[in-house]
Amino acid sequence: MILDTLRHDLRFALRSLAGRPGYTLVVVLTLALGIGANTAIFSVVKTVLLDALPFHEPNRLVAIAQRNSEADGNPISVGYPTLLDWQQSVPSFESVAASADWQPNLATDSGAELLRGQSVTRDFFKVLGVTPALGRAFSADEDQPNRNDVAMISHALWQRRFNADPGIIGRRAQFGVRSYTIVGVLPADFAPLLPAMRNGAPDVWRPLGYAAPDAPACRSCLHLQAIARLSPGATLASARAELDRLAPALIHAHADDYPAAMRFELNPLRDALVGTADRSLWLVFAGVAIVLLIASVDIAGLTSLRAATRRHELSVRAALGAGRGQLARLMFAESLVLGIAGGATGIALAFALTKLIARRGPSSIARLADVHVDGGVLAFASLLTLTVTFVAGAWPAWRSSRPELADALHVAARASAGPSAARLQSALVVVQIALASALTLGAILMARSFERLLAVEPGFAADGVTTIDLAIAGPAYVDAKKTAAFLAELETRVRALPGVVHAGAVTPLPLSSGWDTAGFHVKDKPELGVEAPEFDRVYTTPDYFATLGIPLRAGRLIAASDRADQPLVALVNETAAQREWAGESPIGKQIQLGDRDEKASWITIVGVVGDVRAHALDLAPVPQVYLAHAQSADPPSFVTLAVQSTLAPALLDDEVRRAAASIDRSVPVYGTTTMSARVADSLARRRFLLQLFGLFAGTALLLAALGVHGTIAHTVRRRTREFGLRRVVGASNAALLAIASARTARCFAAGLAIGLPLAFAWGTAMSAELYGIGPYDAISVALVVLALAAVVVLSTLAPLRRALAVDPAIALRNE
Amino acid sequence: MQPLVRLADIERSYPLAGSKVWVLRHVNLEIGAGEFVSVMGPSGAGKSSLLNVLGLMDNEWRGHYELDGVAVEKLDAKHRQALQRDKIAFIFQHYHLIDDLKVWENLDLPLQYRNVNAKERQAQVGDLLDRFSIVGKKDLYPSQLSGGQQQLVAVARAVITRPKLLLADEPTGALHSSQARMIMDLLHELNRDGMTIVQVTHNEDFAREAQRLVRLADGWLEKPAAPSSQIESG
Repeated sequence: MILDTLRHDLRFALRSLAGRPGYTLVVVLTLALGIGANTAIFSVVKTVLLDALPFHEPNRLVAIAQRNSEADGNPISVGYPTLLDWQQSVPSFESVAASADWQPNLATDSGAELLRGQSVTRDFFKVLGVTPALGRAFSADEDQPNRNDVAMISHALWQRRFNADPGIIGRRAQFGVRSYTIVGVLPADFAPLLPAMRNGAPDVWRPLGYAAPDAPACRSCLHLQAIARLSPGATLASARAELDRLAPALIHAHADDYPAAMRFELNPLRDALVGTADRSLWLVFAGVAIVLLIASVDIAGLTSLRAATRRHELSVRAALGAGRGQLARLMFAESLVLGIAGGATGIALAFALTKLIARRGPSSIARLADVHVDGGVLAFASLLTLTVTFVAGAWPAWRSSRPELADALHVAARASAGPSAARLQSALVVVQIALASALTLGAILMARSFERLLAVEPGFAADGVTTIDLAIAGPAYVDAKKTAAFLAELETRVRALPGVVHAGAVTPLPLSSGWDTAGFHVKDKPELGVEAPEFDRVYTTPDYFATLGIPLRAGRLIAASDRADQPLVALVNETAAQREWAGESPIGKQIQLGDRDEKASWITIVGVVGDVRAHALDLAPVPQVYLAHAQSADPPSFVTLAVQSTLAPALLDDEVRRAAASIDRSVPVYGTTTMSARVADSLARRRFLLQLFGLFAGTALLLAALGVHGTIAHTVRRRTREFGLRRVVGASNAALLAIASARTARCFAAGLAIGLPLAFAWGTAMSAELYGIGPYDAISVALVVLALAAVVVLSTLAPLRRALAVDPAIALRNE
Repeated sequence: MQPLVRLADIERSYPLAGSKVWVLRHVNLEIGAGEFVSVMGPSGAGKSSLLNVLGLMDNEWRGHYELDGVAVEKLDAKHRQALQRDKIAFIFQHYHLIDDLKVWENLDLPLQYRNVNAKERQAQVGDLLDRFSIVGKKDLYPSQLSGGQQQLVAVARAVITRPKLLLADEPTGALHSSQARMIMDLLHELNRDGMTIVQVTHNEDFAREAQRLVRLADGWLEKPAAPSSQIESG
């Protein structure tokens, strides 16, 4: 019987909705927008923030780093001897491990391939709880100097380059300058999610093979990224307490190696991985939740109007014997049908949005590429659909289940909903305008902040510049002169290409993820117990400055004649010059980088160049020292060749590859892109947030427009007879317009009065994502008011036209 | 004859501008089982209010109302609804069929609300379609029927639950004369079968076809004008 009734109710609901395609479409699409956007963003939040890391007992994994001063933004590294101290002196750690980047070339018949790799301490895989699919992990014996010629490879590399050879264990392979015995293959599902691996999964691992205390295994050689597994029963608090006790003891014992303010920082590995994306994603989630709230308010308004227009039908049913429960069930059946349609459409939308986010989202947010709709996300979408459907449908349903029979059965009741429905509708519109104003302000602030970022002068000219990465490494380049010779020859050949104007090399390129800092010492300047300031160290070839249009402010640039056998020269940027020699010229001053050594050579500053935004457009220029690549005894292997030309990047890439291969085919050429693309990439996270918040604001305005349209349309419909009568007694168009739009105008004013404080609160919550603008920006607030006013005016045009077109004769005949 | 309906001192008022406007004043009325009564009176006399009280669609009155031996004023809302479902059916001037339901579904609805099983409902709907000669219209929607046909369906829907009391609020008011005649004939037939009918009407001729005619004015039942007349005294 219950099933029979339910079937009947659902069948009636379907038929009834099919007869009202406009209402049905609006409700279904509104619901789909709300559910779809929320589900997609939830899938991001779930994958990035909520899902456990894919390691054994991930809650016991932590990241540890050494913080030398409070000014250290986000410390991530430590020296090797400190790691050994943690192992011995922190009982809360079951095991500790560290890793360092390693980028070996793998020579192949088709040319060299640059691999992502890591040098790791012996317990690295034990800490992560990973067992190799083939072979074994590293032994303690192998993590020693000169004994670390063993390697483990990823499942992907094993398949790609070794044809999934089951006999791979024990085979030798050449990675970079050395030959390694492959001892293990990682499982296919091993996801090396560590902060250092955000930009791609490694393919090869080797033992670190350090022996303290010689460099690079010294205490102040901060370049290792450390992780640890907590002992069973240990907590973050107990581990932090033990580290806090250890730090002063180490400072006391090794005063030369640690600054007095040094301390250790320990965080769950998940937090270290997610970084500041955590805050942004919760903000996005809050934004999309507001969209859902607006959608729910819209649906509640529409459902309540629909319930009001069904008052007559429900009264008839009550007169025929329907009980309150039966009437409420009937309304719920309709909500259920709409919910299922809206939810299903929303989930389909979520699938599409999720794919788009995974493909187009910024790579700086960890695990974003893994975002997908899974069972948990579907459960969330279903729960959301049920909640919205029933919460938005419950009140109207319950209210409709108690029709006032005697009144409702009079013919006038058929016409439209009563004043109480109109009041409810107005209240809902106020809420919508208030919420939409918050989201709109957020989007406008974000857009204006982005606009300011785009207007930031980066200090270089990106137009027409293509950048190509090279890895000049391997046995042939142990001698620095060979590296310099290769680079000089390559630049000469590239410059000879038709269309090429300039070609220069640099390490690291501005706005790339790499950076290198070194202690900055000035000859004859006493350093009395004060730590040397850290300046950015950049290696360049002479033509680099012309290629990127970095201006010379004083002195001269690095010249081709600044060879290894000539006196060492350097340039400083304006910030460095101002910081060290305010009011005087730095030209001719002598400096050292790294450890000060009075017996070693000093570098003479020969010029001052303009500042560039080296790390990000929103970060002020930092002091930089430019060294001649050709003069370095230990030049960087990873070099970016910047080429200013009229050639298309793809064509230039071909030409440079050909030129490089003609000099030495073992040098891999990779990562060709334009400088403009690099600038754009550096803004990818902000652009992603701007797009999301823009989308939310657009949706909020659209939904608010629907709500406003519904309200005024309802007002006009309900008062058609009154308008007809007013026309008969001589009302003008202006008078009718004033009457018809009065309620909407009041809603708009009330919505803004509530919405603007909300908007300021929302803007304040977003302030960490803004650049050069605050939440109370007057122009942004004015734009919000204008945008909402435009939405209100546009959405009221059609109903107001109907109000003016009321024919008194027809209006009165309707009655 | 045992009265089916007994109204004693029924009063009904509405608040208006801090005062009260009375629509029924000290109404006393008995209607016997199987009787056909017409209610007449000018607009605002209280006819519809009386019908609302009789049909348990209005619960805000004062006085004593006994329906088939049950004192209505002592019942709570739930029991009043159950009593209405068991004993009463309505016909309205504007038919009030449900637009989105087909003819047979409109007939099926009252049975559904009385939890009659599907098989039984199907049989009863089939019988009634046959009896009212509307089998050919069963799959049409109300909007596809003429006014007379819609009222025919409305009457069929009202009687499908075999109510003891049929309340008809101007059942012929929206129909032209031949359709109105058809509906009046149908009401007489139902009355002959034993159904108690109370109709509110403005049509003097149709009113006089009832066994008894009562008149309302300003909420009061009028006294009979002459001994031979059929006017009930209050």
